[in-house]
Amino acid sequence: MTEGIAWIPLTFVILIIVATVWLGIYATKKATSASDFFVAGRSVSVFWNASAISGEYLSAASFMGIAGLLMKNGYDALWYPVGYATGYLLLLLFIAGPLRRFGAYTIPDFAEGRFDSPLFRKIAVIFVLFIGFFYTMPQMKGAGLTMALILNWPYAVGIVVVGAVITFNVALGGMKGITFVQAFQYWAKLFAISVPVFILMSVYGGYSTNFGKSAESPKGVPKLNEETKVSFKGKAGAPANAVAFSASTVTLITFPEGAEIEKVSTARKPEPGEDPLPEGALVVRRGMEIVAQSPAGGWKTGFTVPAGGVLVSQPYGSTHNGLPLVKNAVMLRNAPKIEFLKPTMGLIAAGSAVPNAQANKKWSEPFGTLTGKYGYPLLYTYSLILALVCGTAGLPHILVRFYTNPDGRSAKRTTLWVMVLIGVFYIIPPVWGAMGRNILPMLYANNTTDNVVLKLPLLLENKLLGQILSGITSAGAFAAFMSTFSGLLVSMSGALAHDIYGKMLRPNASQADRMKAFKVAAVLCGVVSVLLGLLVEQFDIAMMVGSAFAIAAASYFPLLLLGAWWRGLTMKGAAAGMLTGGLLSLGTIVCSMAIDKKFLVLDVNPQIRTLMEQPAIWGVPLSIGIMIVVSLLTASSAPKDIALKMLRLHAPEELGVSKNYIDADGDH
Amino acid sequence: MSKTVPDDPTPAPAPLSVETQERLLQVVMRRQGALSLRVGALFLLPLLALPLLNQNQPEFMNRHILGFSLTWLILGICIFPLTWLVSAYFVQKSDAIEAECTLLGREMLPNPGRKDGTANAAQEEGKE
Repeated sequence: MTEGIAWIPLTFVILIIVATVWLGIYATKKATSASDFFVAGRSVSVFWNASAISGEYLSAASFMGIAGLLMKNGYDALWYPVGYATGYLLLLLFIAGPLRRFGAYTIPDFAEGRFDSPLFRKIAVIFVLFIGFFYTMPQMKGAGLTMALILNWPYAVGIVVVGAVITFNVALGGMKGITFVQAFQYWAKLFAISVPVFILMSVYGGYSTNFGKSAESPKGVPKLNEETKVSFKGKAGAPANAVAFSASTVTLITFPEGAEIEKVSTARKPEPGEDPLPEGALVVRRGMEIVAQSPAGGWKTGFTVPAGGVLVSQPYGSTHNGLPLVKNAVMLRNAPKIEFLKPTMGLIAAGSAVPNAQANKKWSEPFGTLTGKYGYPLLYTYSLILALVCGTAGLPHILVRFYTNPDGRSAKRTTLWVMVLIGVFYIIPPVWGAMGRNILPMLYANNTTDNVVLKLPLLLENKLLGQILSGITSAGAFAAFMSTFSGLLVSMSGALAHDIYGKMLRPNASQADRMKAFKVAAVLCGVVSVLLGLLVEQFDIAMMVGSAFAIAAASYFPLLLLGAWWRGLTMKGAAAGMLTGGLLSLGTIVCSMAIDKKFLVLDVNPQIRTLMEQPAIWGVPLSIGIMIVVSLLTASSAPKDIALKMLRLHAPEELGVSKNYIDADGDH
Repeated sequence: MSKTVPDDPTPAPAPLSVETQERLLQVVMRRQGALSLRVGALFLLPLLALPLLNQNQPEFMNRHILGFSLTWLILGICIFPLTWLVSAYFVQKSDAIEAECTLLGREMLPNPGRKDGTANAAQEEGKE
């Protein structure tokens, strides 16, 4: 950890905040009517709109999370950027054009207009909030990490400050401001992710060189070249407080202030019948004197290392009834895994394999530690792909932007440009991950790989250049969670102000009242997001975003797909499918996170555990299936003018059958 | 307050009869839908085949090409330009369909002096 304040990165972060707030205020002067506030008067050009959508889409997950997840898990993590990008293709093919033609502000507007059902609006609004809050959690984590690194602030303080700044900005500017700001931030982010990495590549070798180092010896594990100081997390940081030692090399950690180890287990989950940890797998020494040696099975209730003591982890060949254990013609090895009780500082000896890093083969080839963690990698992979590809189309803060296109045709053009802009971006974060594995492996030891884009530049010999580059990536990370969080706030506040206040509570509210409601809602959502952000420090950023996608994929995606393409979809069918698929997915993901965090102790079959963590593979078909079955059963309740509605979704504007569902002042 | 959003510059159309709506809808949706499905399958089927190939042909997929393994090269780099090509193709085709449908729709509008829309609908579908 950096001690004190990192002034140069701080300057860059302040610059990006000032630029963002200034752009927001500047644009606010031009935003007067409610229409400007909600969808920027529907007059944004294709280029600006595409930049703005990309700016909003490239969140902390894209900027920090993918690099971190790729460093941690290797090949499997590539599915994230690919899923984020190809989701747009699905959006382009099936949803972008029709949705814009229908002419409404939000997905709840579409839900109401397509089925003539104000009740359905109320149901649909709920998911804007569910998905929105799920998506804000990782953004908040990004904010907390960045501030901790730059200002040495506690995680919580960073979140509160950043949350307050962005909420203030949104409450001031609404979406017109945000369109400019988002477009500016796309370019800021592309600059910040690419320029530093090219400079680093000139020193540490290119993408393929770094990949090659991680692929040359299958059993190799990244090693620390010099004694490395690592801050380990305590029990409050579970599951990130676990340290799994290498099964190939001895590891030595010195604890100058001692350490309390709460639990001992094995690095690799034992095979059925595998003998427990052998005697002496962990040894505590002081100097050359052996203080303690673990009994067979390890210390069941943990142990203590005295101040200045050294912990030695010795890997071993796994056995079954004392004989070597063989799987797929390979003799299995294992090593101890420990969990710290309190935050602890340790010095890992030079030459040790870094704990928590998987071997090169697992990292560089498919079906490694991410998809294979419960033993069903193919199932995990397909479910993940489905979540990301379908989920993009169901993100409320992205879809609302399609209404800022003048017509359905430009909505498609915009989507095409978005794919180019985000595609260019998504090639780069994996380069950071591959480089981080080779030159900054210490991040594995305390599970902080999400920091890789911020910390890697600091390794440069030229300290000033390193600080400047780290400043640029910090500013980029800031732009990332600022823009996505702003977009989410606009969507969630819009849902509260426009749908709940404007439609349900006070349908006769004046425009001034609605604007005021929007501001109050923004503050409310900002506060809830900050509170949620405080809970998620231990979860991977990209994984959490993946969960938001899975919920969107099982709720909004089927609604939009069938709503736009199947005239037989009824309100009851859509509601039943969306609620069942969406809520069940949400439920299993929350359960799965609670198990990870050890709030919930549940021994689940690994196949079911895979399906809980990645629910899209059953959630999406379930939602679509229920929509179809219930719609067929309630076919008589389909809107009478369904042909006209479908024409509005699909006929070119020139024919004049489309009209905006909502007019300028938010009425219809 | 009641400012109208200038996003619908075309003059208000003559109302379409239910039969015309149905006919037009059938043509527009079928052609656009077929295009979307075709392009979607073209891209998504190979993408979905990748995990299966990774599992069943690991040696082939992990062979080294240009400093990467083949599967990493595909998933980490090459896939992005492919999405651009596929979507550019789609936007072009989709625009062409819309232009044709606009013509067809104008034919169908109940304006005096125009040809009967039915014949044109058949003609347009024949082109597909």
